[in-house]
Amino acid sequence: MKQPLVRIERLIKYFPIRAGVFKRVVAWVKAVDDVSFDVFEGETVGLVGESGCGKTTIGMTLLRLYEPTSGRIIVGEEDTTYYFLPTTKARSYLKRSYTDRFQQLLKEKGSTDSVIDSLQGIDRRYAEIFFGDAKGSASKFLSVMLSNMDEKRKKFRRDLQIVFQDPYSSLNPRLRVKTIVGEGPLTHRLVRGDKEVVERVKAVLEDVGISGEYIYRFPHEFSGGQRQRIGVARALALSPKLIIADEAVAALDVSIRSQVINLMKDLQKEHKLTYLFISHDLSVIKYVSDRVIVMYLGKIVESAPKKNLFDEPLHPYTRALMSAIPIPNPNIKKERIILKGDVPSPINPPSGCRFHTRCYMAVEECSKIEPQLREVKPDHYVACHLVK
Amino acid sequence: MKEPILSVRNLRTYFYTEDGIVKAVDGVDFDVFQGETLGIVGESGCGKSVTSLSILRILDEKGRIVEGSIVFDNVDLTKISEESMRKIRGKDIAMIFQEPMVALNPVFTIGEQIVEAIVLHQKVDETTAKKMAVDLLRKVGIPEPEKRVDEYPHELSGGMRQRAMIAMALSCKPKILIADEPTTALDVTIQAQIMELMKQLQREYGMAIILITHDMGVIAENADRVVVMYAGKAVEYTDVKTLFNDPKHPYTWGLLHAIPRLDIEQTRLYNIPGIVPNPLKFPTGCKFHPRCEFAEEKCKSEEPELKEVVNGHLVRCFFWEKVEQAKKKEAGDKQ
Repeated sequence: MKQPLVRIERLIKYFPIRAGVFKRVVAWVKAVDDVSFDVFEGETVGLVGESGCGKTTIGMTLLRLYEPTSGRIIVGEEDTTYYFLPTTKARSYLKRSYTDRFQQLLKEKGSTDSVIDSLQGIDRRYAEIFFGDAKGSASKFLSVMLSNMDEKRKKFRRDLQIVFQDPYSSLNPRLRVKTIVGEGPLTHRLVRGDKEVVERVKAVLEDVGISGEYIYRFPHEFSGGQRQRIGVARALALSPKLIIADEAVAALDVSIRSQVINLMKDLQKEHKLTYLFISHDLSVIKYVSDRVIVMYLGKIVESAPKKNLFDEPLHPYTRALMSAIPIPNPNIKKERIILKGDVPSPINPPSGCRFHTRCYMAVEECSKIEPQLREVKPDHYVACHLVK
Repeated sequence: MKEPILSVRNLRTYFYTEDGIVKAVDGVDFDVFQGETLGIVGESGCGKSVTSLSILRILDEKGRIVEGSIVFDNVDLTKISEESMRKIRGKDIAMIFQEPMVALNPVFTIGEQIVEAIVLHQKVDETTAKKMAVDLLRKVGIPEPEKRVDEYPHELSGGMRQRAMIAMALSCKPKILIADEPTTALDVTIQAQIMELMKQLQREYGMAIILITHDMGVIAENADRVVVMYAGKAVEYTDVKTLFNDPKHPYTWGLLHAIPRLDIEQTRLYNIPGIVPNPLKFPTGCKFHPRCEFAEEKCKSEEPELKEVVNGHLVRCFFWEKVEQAKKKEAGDKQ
């Protein structure tokens, strides 16, 4: 079994809505609600959905620009969920997720070996540390896990990078390109001294198709497409393992968009990059992705390899979404599924299947029971009662 | 032969800014026929929006129509007084915008804003106008129109706001509706709803629509006739099928190959090199020549005219036949 580069497990992110004099929490925005998926090395996973579906929140939570409400974020061989929590919270997370569980399992199974054998992946690895190096002691295990946090955080930040949507607001207007792109490598000590910074920045700029002569320019001296290339260069400068591209080409003109998409594909080949490509645009997703995840109101409704998804979309929402995309070919007259109404609010999502209020196929069951994501064909997952 | 209800000829709108003259629109020609949709397509800064603002004469103070004619109902709109223009604006020619939140006044209810438009152009009292407003909201598919008519724009969702805008634009049964990127700010499923609504209302009212967009897909599905604009100029003008099946301008051809598509498999998107030019520093000669793979010496110095190369197909390019060869080669590669 291939090991995923990033594994997201049962991720939940709720945002509180506060009101009144005491700013009490009156409701929660359920932006991401129990989402799990893997990203494997070298592939592009496309995350697609309309506004409010939680796709951007997933990217931001993955990067820990938001802390998850619950769930696990595993990068490579490490659980990174507690990396950016204050020590006490990190401790209680680790206790809850590992030490208490291991001790409970030990009581049930009797021997440490049978506990370890019953576990898989990261749990097994941590159980080995717990029963081996830490000799079953919670405090020792915690001190192992909580050691070298600075290094762990730095490695995490180096491995995961992001390219934002808006090439205007995502570059600091007061900094020169050299500083914007060079800051990361310098902080992470990939380069030392001015000469090496300049060399590094020139090299990545040329990688993204911008002349190395421009390193002393400011962002406003570049066009939108060039700025987005600088945004890509900034991510690339740290030789990351995963780049999250959050609507990275949405703000660009058509002729510029194709340049940046082609560039990102070329860079992926050259540097063996992995992308999590977040977009609302199914046509772009189809072009760049290997695997596609479709989201609706904080949930995954369908996920499959690109070809399967586009050849045979199974979820009614995916089908409606696909049929809604205008095709630049006047010879094709296709059947269009027009969905009724607007996307409901994620504060009070509909009961049962969240899509049932707009679904053209919904039956009574849909409003009562929430469908689970099931594998209906090899590698093709759908959350719908009506798909057999 | 059908008579167009709006004819734009050689339109040039310049902005006199402190940094210099911005030739936002610099040579655009097209006709709009009753019941038809004319699409204007191009990238940012190509002058597609300024073209529509020129038709309604709602340019800001720096902008001026310096040449050309806009003939509507046998009247040249560039020549008439502001007072006569005000009678046409909103009544015969109405407009909807990309951002309904910006276009609607936040301190008045939806109803008040529609009533204002009705009372201004029609001889009815406010009570009747309010009833008409409710009917219009129902017609554009707003649920519970009796309640919604008294709500403020911020109380509606993006799609509902755009519907309210359309209701307002339709209040005086205009002959021409100008829709400037009407669905760009909306989600695709909502975009599909709005485009469907516009088509249905067009059939019902028999009005002409000028649809301005950057989205080739929206054009292909909704326009009857298309103007492709680049750097302030119309570079190609023909009916929609011909444009997509047989594009003749290198820019149109490149653009159609540069978009990711759902309907075909693509191994690599076509790269139009370079950037969209700055309107203050448009290149000499053909404005597209620095980015054109077919350009020759002549293109750098001389400016091509918008010429009819085949029946009803206008192209602004000296070497459009080279695109024909590229298309033949492409067809050969496929086999």
